[in-house]
Amino acid sequence: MVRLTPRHCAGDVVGPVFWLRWSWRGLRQRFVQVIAIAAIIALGSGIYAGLGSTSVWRTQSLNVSFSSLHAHDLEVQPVAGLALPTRTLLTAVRSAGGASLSAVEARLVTDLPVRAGPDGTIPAAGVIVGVDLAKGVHIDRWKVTGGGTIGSADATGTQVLLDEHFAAQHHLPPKGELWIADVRVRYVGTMLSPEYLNTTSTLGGVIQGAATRAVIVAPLSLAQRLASQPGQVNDVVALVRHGVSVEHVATQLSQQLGRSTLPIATTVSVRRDSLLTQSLYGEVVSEQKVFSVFALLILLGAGFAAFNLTRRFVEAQRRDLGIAMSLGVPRSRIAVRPLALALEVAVAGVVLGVAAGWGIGQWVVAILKVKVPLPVWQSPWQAGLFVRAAVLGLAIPLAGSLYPVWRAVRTTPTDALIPPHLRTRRHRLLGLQRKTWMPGNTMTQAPLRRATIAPARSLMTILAIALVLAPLLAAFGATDSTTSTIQSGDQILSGGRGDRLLVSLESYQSAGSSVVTAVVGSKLVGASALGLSIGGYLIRGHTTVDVSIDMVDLGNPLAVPTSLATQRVQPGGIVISAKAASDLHVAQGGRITLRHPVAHGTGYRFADSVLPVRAVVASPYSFVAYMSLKDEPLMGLSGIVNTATVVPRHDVTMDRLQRSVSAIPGVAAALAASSLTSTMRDVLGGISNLFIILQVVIGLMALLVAYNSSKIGSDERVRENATMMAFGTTVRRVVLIEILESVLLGLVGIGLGIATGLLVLKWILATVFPAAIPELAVLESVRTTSYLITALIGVVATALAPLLGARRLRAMNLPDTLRYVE
Amino acid sequence: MIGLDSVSKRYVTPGGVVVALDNATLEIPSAVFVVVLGPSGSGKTTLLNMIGALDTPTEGVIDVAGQRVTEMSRSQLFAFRRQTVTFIFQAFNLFPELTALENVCFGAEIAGREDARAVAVQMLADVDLGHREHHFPHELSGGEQQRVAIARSLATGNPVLLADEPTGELDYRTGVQILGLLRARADAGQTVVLVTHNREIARMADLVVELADGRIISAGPTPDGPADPSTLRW
Repeated sequence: MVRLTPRHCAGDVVGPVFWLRWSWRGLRQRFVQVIAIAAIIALGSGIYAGLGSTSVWRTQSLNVSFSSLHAHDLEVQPVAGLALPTRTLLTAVRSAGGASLSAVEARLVTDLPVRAGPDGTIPAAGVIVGVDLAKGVHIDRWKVTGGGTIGSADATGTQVLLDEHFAAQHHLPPKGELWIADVRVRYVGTMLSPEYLNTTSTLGGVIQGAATRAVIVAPLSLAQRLASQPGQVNDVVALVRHGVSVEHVATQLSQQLGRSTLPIATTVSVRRDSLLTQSLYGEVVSEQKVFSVFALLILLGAGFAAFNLTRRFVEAQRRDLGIAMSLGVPRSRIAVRPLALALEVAVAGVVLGVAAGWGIGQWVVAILKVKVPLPVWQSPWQAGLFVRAAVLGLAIPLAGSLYPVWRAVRTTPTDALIPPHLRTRRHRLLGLQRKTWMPGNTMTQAPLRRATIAPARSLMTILAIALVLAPLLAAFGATDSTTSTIQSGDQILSGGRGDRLLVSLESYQSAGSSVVTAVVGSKLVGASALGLSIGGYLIRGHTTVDVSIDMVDLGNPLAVPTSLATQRVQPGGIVISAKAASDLHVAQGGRITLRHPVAHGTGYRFADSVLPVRAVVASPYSFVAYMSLKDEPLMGLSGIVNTATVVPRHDVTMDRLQRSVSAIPGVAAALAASSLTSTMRDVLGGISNLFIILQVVIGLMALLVAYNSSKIGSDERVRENATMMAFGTTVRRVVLIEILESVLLGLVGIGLGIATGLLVLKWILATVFPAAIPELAVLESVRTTSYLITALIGVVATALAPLLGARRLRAMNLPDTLRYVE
Repeated sequence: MIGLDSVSKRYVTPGGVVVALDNATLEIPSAVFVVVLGPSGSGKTTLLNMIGALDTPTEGVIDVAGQRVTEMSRSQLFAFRRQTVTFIFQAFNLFPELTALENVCFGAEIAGREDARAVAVQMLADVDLGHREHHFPHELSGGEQQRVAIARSLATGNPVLLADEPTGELDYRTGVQILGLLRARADAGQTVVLVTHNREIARMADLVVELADGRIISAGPTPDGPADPSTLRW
């Protein structure tokens, strides 16, 4: 027997094609809404993929920068910055390294005061890297970022290259003039060298960054002339032959040089083990930690919003499901349509998410290229991350649809058929609403009543807004807290002392040396304090903290913070920062081990001394530490200094004193303390700039969440709105009611978002930051403007969303809407 | 009171032009109970919607209570709906988040009545729902919901009451009760225009307007005068 099945009848109804076609029609009807929900998923997964790629890009770019510019493997330096004749040092290294070394080059790296800008108005601590241009530079090359370069023809000339970081900080042109130790030279280009990518260092207990440190590549002869060290070098860099262990060669070099006839001791360091290299890579990892936390938080917010919206979206189809059930369609078949809709949202989300991820990634790279310049930047497609984001994007809406579908197919057809506005509502708020007096008339009460009639729905909307805004406030708070901590730290260190000139000497000098006498004895100096700045480690238990110890007169308010100078701290101990005290779990009066250098022959060795903690200064920097000059014998450096803090005489300007001191031979840098406090960018890295992306994405997401909530809410209330308009309520008034309802929920959402954001911030400051910036005790601080901007984004998004539906309200077919009989 | 002069309503659809109302001319005096009768698709609801300014005619002129509805601006139409006409819907269309009393208050407030609450209390009492003031719509039966809807319309105090199949969702007993209430409003001086396809209901009207295929095929008083609602059977 042949059975004929009508083409568009029962045979199709039981087949999936029919349901997919029906679902497709639903998608077309709700296209804007589907795209809006998909856009939320896209932004969440996009920021996850975009921000998640930064560490891979930066690490890869750093690796390529180092390798393509032939960064040295090993570096040999005579101790204490002392110099040796070029041939002597080169021969010793070549001889010690033997065939293991493929290339060896000698340099003179010297610290000299630099002035740049028009008429030399920008003072800086110069790092002059003298290279042998005549023989060609094959190790530690540079990438020219502007202007020209220098080559063998410039070997005996006075043309130099200036570091891009410093030039960019002061908006200097790619070519110009600058003064090194009062000698005018011409820089013909700006450059980036992997060796000097890390711009952060300390000077006089204050963080110094790109703005105050000028790295200059100069012909070796010029550097030797400027440093008054003709024919001398103090640095040898080497490349290890391919396939040979760098560490093994370093050990071999160290041993051989120790046995050589060199008149002074040398240190051999492996570049990739150096603190600078490690901190460069460490910064990438630590910043990625912060970004990952925020990306996950945003993804969580987006996920929740998409989940909630998909749930409501599917919930709106519940009546259709009831009709299908009453017609006897199997449950499994009924579920196809809403699940297909969720799948369509998911697929749209993934497609848009890939585009958003790519776009956000490009934006991230563009910011990083400016804020974290590298010789070579590479940003390859991170397929793994995008796949992870895509899986999340698919899973969220599907998860959002499962519960309402499960609920709908399990209910009885009669329950499912009840139209939403006639469904029985049972919740405590109804009773409360009945009894509670509210001001105004039914129109003015409408927003609040609408918001409370379906508390579960309102709560979900509030939570969605809160979860979107929470990471924004946390992001603002993280920036505010770091900035404010650094500012307060600088204020604590300089508090009560006024501005002063921090002078660094080229090398260790006896307190009575000519250079020291010239500095402190200058007619322009009103007061001075000498000091010895030396590195060391504080050790307690298993915790070690790197410190930069300023050995000074602890009673001199010029040398130490006023709060410390007044404490009459006795010698024979150490003063540490509050951050270090916290990390080491030690308080004033406790004892701590200081690992410090001790002069030994022509070099030095490290020794451990157990010292009492004489005082704790309220500094957030762990590396800040002070000792008395009287304790210098502990280091074997009695009467030795390498820093001076001076203030101008009352009738002398700081600029005049700075220029005068900079011109003294033997002075490496002379910078006003106030000029060193503008270097937070280097401490924060690119974080604060990348937070702009978070703000834009979160703002968009808040708008989309509010729009969708408002749109779904408006659809659910279409009959009420039509009735109001039938009774003469103007469209403007209806929109106003919707705006007020939306803002009402928005305000609660904002409040909850801010509270959640503060909790997230506390968690980040307690767990993520200590790992990312271990040397800084970041204290929680959120500016009023941050609160206001977060609230403003929430209010604008929630208030704006109903406005987007005003046109639809105006075009509403009142008779059709009102006649619709359930 | 209500005048229609050569009013037509045409819709352009993909299948061609659909004439919902064709050249309707009608005069309805004040304080009467009018039943607009006709089968589905005859144009009776279209007629009601245009009187109530929910819809606009393609051509023709409509005057209600001395106001030319067809020449009003958008804002004037809203004001007209607030001050002149009021609706009762087949599906009640109560606000689910408002109690019965508040739904009625809404009618009084939107019409600008200063004694809104007192009026609402009175109107609810008039429809025998004084004891259900603080109940939400979903806590009321269908008949009670429709009585609240009537009370809401009455609370506006507007002179023209437009009812679209107000008993369509109700059982006979409740329907008769509702019709009695509407009849009483006409007797009290309001103009009540009720749309239905039920010929039995037309018996209680002062005036019956019959439509078919968008045209008014008859209009005039009920031959035996208005019947008492309690005598209706359907």
